[in-house]
Amino acid sequence: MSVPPAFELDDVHFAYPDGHAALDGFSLRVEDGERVAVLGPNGAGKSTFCLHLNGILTPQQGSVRVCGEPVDRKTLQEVRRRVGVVFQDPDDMLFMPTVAQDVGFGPANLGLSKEEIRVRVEGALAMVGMSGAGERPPHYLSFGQRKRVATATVLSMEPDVLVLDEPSSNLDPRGRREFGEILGSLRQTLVMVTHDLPYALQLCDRAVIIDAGRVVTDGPIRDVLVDDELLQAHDLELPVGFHPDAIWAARARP
Amino acid sequence: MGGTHGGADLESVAAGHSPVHRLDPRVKIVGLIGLVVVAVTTPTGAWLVFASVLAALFVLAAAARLPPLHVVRRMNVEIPFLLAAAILPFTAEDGVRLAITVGAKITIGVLAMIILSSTTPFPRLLQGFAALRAPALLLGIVSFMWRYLHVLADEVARMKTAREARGYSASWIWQAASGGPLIATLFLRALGRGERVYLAMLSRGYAGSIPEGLEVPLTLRRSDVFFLAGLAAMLVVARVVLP
Repeated sequence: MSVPPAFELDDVHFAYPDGHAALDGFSLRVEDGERVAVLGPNGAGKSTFCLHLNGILTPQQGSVRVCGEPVDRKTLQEVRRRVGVVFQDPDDMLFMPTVAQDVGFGPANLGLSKEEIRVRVEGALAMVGMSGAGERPPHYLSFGQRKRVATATVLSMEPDVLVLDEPSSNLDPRGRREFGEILGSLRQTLVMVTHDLPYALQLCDRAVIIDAGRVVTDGPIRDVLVDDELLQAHDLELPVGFHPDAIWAARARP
Repeated sequence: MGGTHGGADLESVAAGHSPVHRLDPRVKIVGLIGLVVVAVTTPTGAWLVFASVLAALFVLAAAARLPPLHVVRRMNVEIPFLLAAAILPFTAEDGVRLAITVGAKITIGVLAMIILSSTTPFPRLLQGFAALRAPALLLGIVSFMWRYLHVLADEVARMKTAREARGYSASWIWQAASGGPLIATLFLRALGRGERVYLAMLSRGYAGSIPEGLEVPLTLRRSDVFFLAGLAAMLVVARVVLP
């Protein structure tokens, strides 16, 4: 049997209680190991899409499958282990008194033994370059460090899919680069919801533009980002004077 | 972004290294609460007991190398209580003895809690209370409050800065009116924050209770036993023999 897709949304509809249709016939299939940038204007349904991937929200119509399994009450905990979501503001994710307790929160919910949890915590902190920070309270860390620890809290659950909501927001240039290097070193399927087009180009191979609750464009990221007309139509812009091929060339170097 | 609110100072003192800092949090909690209980149950006018308990606290504070100014500043919280006790000489029989006794009891209680909180990092303090079987729900609430007070305090600091940058100064009485919107904004932000934190918890498999045993385990060492035994002996002598 071939490897099932990392996730697959099929004709998903979702409206909030105020009647706003956030997802309106949303379909997207991402294969195992892909790196996908999800782009789109504010209010396009990006966050709603993220919350469907780990079953926080469930479609009112259509279906969501993660690693071949439908997302329902029975598979919910397993889906949340498989799909790790890194929220935009690390302070939303770091709620325990110390870094180590926070990184161990997910594994403990999975029912792992103390020894396994310890190994997972150390491993996840090492992956984000924060070894040795375990006993520190989160508010003693810089924003960039908190972002990395927030990512570790998800990595410690050994997810198959990593979903990042605006990974580069509020990071200073150095923090942005360091975080990009960490993301580049991970082997998980990566879904990155962002406005930062150069960052997306640097880290992803495929780009999906969503607007008004559905996928409007899906293709190789370089092809999508050189299409000025397409970008403009969906309120997306590259920084002034920036050409995608500059990053593309930098990426190609070993 | 650290912010310069009151908590940072307490935490840097609590992160110090001294024999008192190194004691097991359970031992400090039991010992200092025991000491307060002894002081509170001591009858009026038993000056020797109060003096010896206070002396014990001074020895602890000195051994912990707590900055005197830090301790004195934190003692401020007892001023309203001392003022209340100061009414006693005018209202009660033998009021002066009573007022001094009440004052001594308050001072001992406050000083004991200052020493506890200034020598134990907050996560260890929570862990100590959890190990002593304090209700998990209560500790959970305190833990979240402590974590997000820092976040909220930073938000308040930023909002105040933004207000001042637009010509606000707190020196005019009519400007006090803008305190209301600030509190309202803060409330709404806290509400939104709470929802996002809950989503983040669900995303990591939260199913109704905070998992236990994530802390570095506590171990009782010889110094902990000595401390507790010594303090207990001293308290028994003070409470039983001296009055």
